[in-house]
Amino acid sequence: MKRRRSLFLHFNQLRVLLRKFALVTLFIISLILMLMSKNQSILLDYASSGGSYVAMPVIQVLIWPAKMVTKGYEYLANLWHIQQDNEALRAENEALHKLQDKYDSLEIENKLLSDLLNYVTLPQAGFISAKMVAEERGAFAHSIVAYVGDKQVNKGDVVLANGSVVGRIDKQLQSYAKVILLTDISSNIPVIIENTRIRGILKGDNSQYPKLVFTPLDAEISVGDRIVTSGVSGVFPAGLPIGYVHSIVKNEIKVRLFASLEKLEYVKIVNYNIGGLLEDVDND
Amino acid sequence: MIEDNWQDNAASLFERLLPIGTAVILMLLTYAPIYLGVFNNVRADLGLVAVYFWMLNRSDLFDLKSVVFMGLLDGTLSSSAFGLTLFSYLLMYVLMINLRKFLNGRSFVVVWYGFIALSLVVYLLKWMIATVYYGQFLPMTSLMFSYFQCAAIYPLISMLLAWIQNIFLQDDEL
Repeated sequence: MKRRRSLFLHFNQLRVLLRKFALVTLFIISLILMLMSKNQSILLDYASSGGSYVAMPVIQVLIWPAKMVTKGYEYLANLWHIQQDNEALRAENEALHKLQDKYDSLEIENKLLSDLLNYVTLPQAGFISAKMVAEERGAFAHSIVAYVGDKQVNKGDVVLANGSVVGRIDKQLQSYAKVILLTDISSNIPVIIENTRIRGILKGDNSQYPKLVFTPLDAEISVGDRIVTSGVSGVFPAGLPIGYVHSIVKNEIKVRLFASLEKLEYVKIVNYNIGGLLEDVDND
Repeated sequence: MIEDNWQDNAASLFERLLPIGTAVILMLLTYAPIYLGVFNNVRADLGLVAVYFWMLNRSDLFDLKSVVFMGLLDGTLSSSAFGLTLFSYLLMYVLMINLRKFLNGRSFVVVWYGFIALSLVVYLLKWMIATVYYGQFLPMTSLMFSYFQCAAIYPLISMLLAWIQNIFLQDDEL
């Protein structure tokens, strides 16, 4: 009886020891996973694909009631302003027609001049529109997940919303694509100030306003200056609108993005056919 | 008789999966694309709230396996380092294992203060690990905003989880 009890005690002690050891092992595993994540392990990509495949439909179901309430409220709010909106849209439509005529004539002129100069145009960009299905806004990451279905997107493809850049494709997870937003800490985009042509890097820091860094010390930068992609490094094409200088405090330049990241619903994923460079960089 | 067994098994399975199920749902809700005004930019870690609540109230149904599952699932969804959330949930698990006896059976306010203190430790350690991972300091303002949101939302989430617990898990509570 005594022997059985002592055996039982040993077994219990062993279980406690194993449990403690399991915790230490799990902590070590979590750190190893982080290191693997740093090296962009294929195994973790597969795990992310599987996780997204299961979790994204659940998220869609979870937000359905909240979306219905929001949509209902928006519908009622819109009804209230429908008369004024109608008048404003008519005026805007008229102005757009005038701009369209101007644009058509400029396009013809541009084509004629390009032919005269024998100018080699950039390859035609292809794009798909995708619905945002999940977003991550925390102190540790800023990203979204967009549903792309059976369409193929590539790492580094530009993601636009309302005509301005919001991020780039990080990876495709089966029918979904993970987009790293410009505000994410891992985002670094070569940019240029449109009017002064001063170059810099737009660096996310997980805050609402990314920072403009690596600008010349004597650069004259003012609040309100427009920031566009510079095209340096070939990852993004030049001239895509990003945002404007929001504040300059103690040499820290904060940029406000044109696109409202809080209200993203649909994004445009554009492939400018200048990819391949990212793969080269990754391989290096 | 077989039918009764089947129903009992299903009910037992439901009860066993309820804590992890609610915790996963709360965690997934943080990824839901819903416009939340100023709270949209930095969100509270609802998964952490769930880990704390279930570890305190039903640690028999919410064990290490549940914590690891949640951490790994979050890792697959998050664009931050894979394993970072697992690390933070494991940390909360360790803290709760050791401090649960001081918090169990106490008034709600004490339990809330307990969460405020423990989640601060978890947030700060997670921040330190992330800082090492990225090789740069993450902004403290976003971190603190997320932390305060988490602390402020705890009463609401715990009320919801307590209601679920009272409805579905009251009979076999240890």
